[in-house]
Amino acid sequence: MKALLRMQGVAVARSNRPVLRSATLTLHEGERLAVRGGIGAGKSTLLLAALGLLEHQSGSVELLGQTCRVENDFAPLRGKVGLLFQDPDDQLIGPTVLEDVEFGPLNLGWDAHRAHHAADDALDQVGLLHLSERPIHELSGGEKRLVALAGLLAMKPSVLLLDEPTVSLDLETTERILEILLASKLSMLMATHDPVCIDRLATRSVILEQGIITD
Amino acid sequence: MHIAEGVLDIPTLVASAACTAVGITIGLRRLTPETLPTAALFAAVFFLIGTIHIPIGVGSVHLILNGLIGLVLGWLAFPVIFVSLALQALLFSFGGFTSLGANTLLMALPAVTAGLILRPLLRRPPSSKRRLLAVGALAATIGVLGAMLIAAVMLWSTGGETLLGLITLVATAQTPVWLIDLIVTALAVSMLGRARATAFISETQRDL
Amino acid sequence: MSHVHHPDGRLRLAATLVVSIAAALTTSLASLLAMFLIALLVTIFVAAKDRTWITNVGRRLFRVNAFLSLVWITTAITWRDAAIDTSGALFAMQMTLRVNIVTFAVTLLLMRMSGVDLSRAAVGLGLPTALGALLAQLVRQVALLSETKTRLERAMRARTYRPAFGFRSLHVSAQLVAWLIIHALARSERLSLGLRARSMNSLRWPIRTSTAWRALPKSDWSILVAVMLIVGLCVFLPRLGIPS
Repeated sequence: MKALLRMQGVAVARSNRPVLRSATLTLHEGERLAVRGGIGAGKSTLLLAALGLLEHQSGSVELLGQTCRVENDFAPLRGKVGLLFQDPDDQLIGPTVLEDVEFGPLNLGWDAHRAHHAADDALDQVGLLHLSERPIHELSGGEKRLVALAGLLAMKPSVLLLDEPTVSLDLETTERILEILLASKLSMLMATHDPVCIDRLATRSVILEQGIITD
Repeated sequence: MHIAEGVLDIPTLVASAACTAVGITIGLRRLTPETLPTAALFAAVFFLIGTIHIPIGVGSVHLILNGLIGLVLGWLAFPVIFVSLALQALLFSFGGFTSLGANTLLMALPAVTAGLILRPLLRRPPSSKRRLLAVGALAATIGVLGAMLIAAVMLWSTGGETLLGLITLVATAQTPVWLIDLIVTALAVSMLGRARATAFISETQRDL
Repeated sequence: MSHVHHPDGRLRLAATLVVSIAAALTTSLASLLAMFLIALLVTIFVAAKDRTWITNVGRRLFRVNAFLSLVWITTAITWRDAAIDTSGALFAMQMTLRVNIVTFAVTLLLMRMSGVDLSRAAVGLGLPTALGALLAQLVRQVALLSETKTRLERAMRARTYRPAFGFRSLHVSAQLVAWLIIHALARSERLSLGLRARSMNSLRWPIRTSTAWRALPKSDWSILVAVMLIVGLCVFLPRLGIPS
């Protein structure tokens, strides 16, 4: 099975404090891998480091078969790896729903028509096509999470990195997100401590504790 | 756009500080404990806007957007810009403390002017996209060109003909800044107007 | 817990203003050169004890002197004849010395002063309390909004955005600005609710008062006195027969 993400002994410090000490994991094609851990364990840091949004001080990261060390290594691959942030307000940038979902495809160099089409498809996938023209700040928390997910799906990724995809959501929205993720048939690395999410979604899980990953 | 500490002579510094004091006094009438959080947040926005850089070739320019600040804050732009520049002087030596009055005047007076002239055009939302873009472009023009003009007057007042070359050079160098500010302000006002139609006339800002 | 005493902010700020005003008022090259050399020596002495501080002062000096090079190019040279303009050169030299003196003074005297310290110091020297409160609140909100900006920029990078010169970058920068403003408006509403919930008194500004002048240790006063003596000596140099 092809390895989509391989992290070997990755160490990351934030504000001079070590968060990840030696993170080692492999995500294979078709897998949905859950990383469990308590508050402050470093789950978000792990995902940010996997995509090169935080620098790793040691260890190695191989993304989609390519060894990545610096920003220029990671940047061309981000279109294929979607990261869902824990707080959707951290990643929603457009003034309206449609403009936000188009943001990623436009960055990939797609023309306006293609980007619009991709955005419409993604919004349809998450069931929010009717909210295309709604200003972002008028959305509920659950709707923002779905729009953020649509923004990733519009870029047609191969892998999804999910940071607590179901946190602060009601049961109905949680169920909806899980169904969308399952239907996407994408490989996933998810940081979560939600047992429902792990139960429904994960094909395998590991534990992140004190900056080290154990099975 | 900052005039470095030690550039302007004392009469220019005193005159500009006096004008700024008047502007701040008018602005402070609108500053209450209820409007303090909004004012502080916008001071932070203005502060951070100065850290957004647009790459141009091998270099970059930073945004000014004083026109946009004036559109949102009106007279409160004076105290808000004053404290932002004070913090920039402390942390980065952009400008300085004795030139704080001069730097505040050259940024805030055009900002307030833009607000006074253009805010009435946005009082009845929803404004059309064309109107929003036009208002934004005008705000940037008044803001940046106004700042350039005031800076030129201050430099002329200090050095007369001796500084004519410098004034010309600075004005020329600021032209791409004006154009970039114009585009960004027009787009930002358009987005703000569409995303939050009451941004320019909300209850809080009527007090501003 | 270590108790490192920092000299009173008001006295440090007052000392900085004394240097700035003296530099602005002085036209004698000898006086300006003397102030510059003393400031440079003190900076070297401090930098020798604290290497990390060199980056800070170096960055500021580079910035101001980059601007000053433009002043020299435009005032000290008559390009038509490719000759030195004496009065222009004198003007440029005065300006160069002034700007560098003030840069040294701000970096030395206001070392490790936070925005909150600055607001208390300024209010202590007569700035209206409302402005001091605004400055103190600004420091808080810059930290929060700066974090928001960093997270937004990170998310933009996650969706393959890279700034480059072109309309797309201008469009995205405009989005970032608009979003910062919307965040600010939304946050200000929540802040106002929070302040009301904590019974914020409409007659009180949230700023602490400074120590009484009489209660300040003599060592704190020594900084201001020393600066005034040095500046006074430099300013009166021409009267001691030293040519300007």
